[in-house]
Amino acid sequence: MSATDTASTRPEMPSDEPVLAVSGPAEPTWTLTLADHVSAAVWSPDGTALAAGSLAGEAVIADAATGNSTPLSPHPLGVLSLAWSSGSGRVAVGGQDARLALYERSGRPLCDLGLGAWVSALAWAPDGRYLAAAAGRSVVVTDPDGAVVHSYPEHPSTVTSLVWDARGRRVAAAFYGGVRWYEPGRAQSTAVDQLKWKGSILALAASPDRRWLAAGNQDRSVQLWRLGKDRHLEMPGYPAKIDQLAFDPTSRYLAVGSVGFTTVWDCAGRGPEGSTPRLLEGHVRRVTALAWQHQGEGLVTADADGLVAWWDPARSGRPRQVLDVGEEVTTASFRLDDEALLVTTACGRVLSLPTTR
Amino acid sequence: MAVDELVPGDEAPASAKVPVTVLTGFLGSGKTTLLNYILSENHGRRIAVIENEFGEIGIDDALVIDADEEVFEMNNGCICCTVRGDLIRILGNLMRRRDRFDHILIETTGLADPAPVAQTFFVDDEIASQLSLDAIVTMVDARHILAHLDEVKPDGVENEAIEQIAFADRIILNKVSLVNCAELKEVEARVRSINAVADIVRANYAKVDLDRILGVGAFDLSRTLEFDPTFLDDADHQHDASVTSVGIELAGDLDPDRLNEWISRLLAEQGVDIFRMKGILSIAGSDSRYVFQGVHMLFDGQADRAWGDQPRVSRLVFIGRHLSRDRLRAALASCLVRT
Repeated sequence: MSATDTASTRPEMPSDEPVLAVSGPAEPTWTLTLADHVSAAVWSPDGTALAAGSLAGEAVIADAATGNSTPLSPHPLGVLSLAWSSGSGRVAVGGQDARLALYERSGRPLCDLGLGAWVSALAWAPDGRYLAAAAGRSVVVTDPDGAVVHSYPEHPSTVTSLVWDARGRRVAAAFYGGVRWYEPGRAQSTAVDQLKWKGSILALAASPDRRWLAAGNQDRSVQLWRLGKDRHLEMPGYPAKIDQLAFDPTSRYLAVGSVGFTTVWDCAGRGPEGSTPRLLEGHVRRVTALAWQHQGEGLVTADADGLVAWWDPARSGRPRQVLDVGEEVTTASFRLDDEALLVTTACGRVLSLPTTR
Repeated sequence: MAVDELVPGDEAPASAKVPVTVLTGFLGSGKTTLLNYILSENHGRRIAVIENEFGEIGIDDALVIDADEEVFEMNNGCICCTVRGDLIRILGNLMRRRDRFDHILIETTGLADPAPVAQTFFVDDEIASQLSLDAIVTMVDARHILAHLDEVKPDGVENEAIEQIAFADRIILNKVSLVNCAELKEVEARVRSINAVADIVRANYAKVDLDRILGVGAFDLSRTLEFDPTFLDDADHQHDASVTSVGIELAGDLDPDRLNEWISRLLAEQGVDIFRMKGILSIAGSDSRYVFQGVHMLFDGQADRAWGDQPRVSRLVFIGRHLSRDRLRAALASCLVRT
């Protein structure tokens, strides 16, 4: 696997025992149990709380120290998306039932909007001024109180992913056929920019330094755009569709989860063109979640068997710790202080794992 | 091309896979009536319905999810590798639930092309590992189907009624009481001329024995493929319908290399026109039957049980457009091991 137009050479295999050696069972600070597969989970930006939702439709806000939870309004047929604003402190919950519900930090409901179609993605602008919601084929942008500011016209397919530009002015919406950028601060009700690519995009990741936008795809490739430079790289050849990818906080590394391994592309300088990625091997089945620490270069990957692995990809292709949570992991995210890792599972468990060793 | 597109890891055992029935048919053929009938029958199955034609299902406790047809091209625009993006999303969420369903029904719109629906089960690795395509069931209104089949479409536009019949594993001939005996015979003969393999089930008010349409395992390679490929030997094609079924029966052993070469070339050249194919093959050097299934260019095959005392006879069926029985037969015969 390598970036487009270059010889495909794999990096030297760093390990001769590819299966992860488990350091021990996970010892969570607390465990909260929902009724079914946890489909979304986020920390509050101040790290004192978290929100989680399941495919059974429950949504909760929980205390970060104890795991004690407060139920929110349920979404029949499942919660699909959650977002917690660092600007306003508000929580947004979206469901298959086409509803978008907004809450205060305490769980007090603010508004409940019917968007007419499943709410598959939610993203707050970094400053909290806007909330972008993918509602079926449309993108709806509201203010922090839930008043609709823009409703952008239909895309050719379901909008699958939304990411804000780090400055918070523009939001990117992915669909089958490409990415459209919207700028809610402008009156313009159409896209301000478009990245065309013929394929079904499942997940987007934007680098914090605003240089790169990466897309994980149904066709087993990663597309990488150098923003503002009209450059486009393709990393084809993964063994399965890609819905797990993320940039590290320095914007240098792009981690892409696959089946049995994770690739880490070095996007420094001109980017990964012609390079081969660091290969993090050892998961046996699909990598179902990955997350970078907020500080430093630590990466966590988790898989369909319940193994959670800590890596320092800049230094080593071997994990420094592997914990077993016992069942398929569905999401993973670090608290802003990196002192706790939130892990959720397909059997409905929400775990807070301490990260200090 | 797609022959080697096998899915990595994560394969659930066939028995653990949730079966999915695809229900096609024109608006007004009785699909919604059938869905309501299925859901209200006390059959002990927990069923989820994915619905494309706006909500007329009136069963309170049924899980009904609205879909919105989204056809995606895979593999750089090869039209044989189209999939349904909406189904990948919805089925993805359904199969992730621990609170599983025993069966999933997908109702397509009357104008939907069944190919992308079927191909979704071959192409998406997660879906292929968790769900099994049980059967494509096509609902036909006995009174109006001939008019739909005869409708002349502009160049390049498919006649969906023909395609839906061609793709079917089961064809429910509904509203049979509204036609007389001669008309019924004509309708059945016409349906047969397009798809000679599917079971035809007659019905009124969409009332059918559910065991005939659910749990069929039509795409399950491990089930014996029961069909008689000689069905067309005596059928004359009165209609110049370009969509037909061709059955071939051939005694003797096939050379695997030549066979592979032929199938690859056939699918490359005619994959667009071949809607469905399936067969049991006698491969030289193997004691076991080789069974395969295909939808357009997507192909799935495996070694099956041993031939034992049975005569080693290969049987193939193709359903598609512009098929020449003589040419297909001659091509297959050229793959026989020369003795």
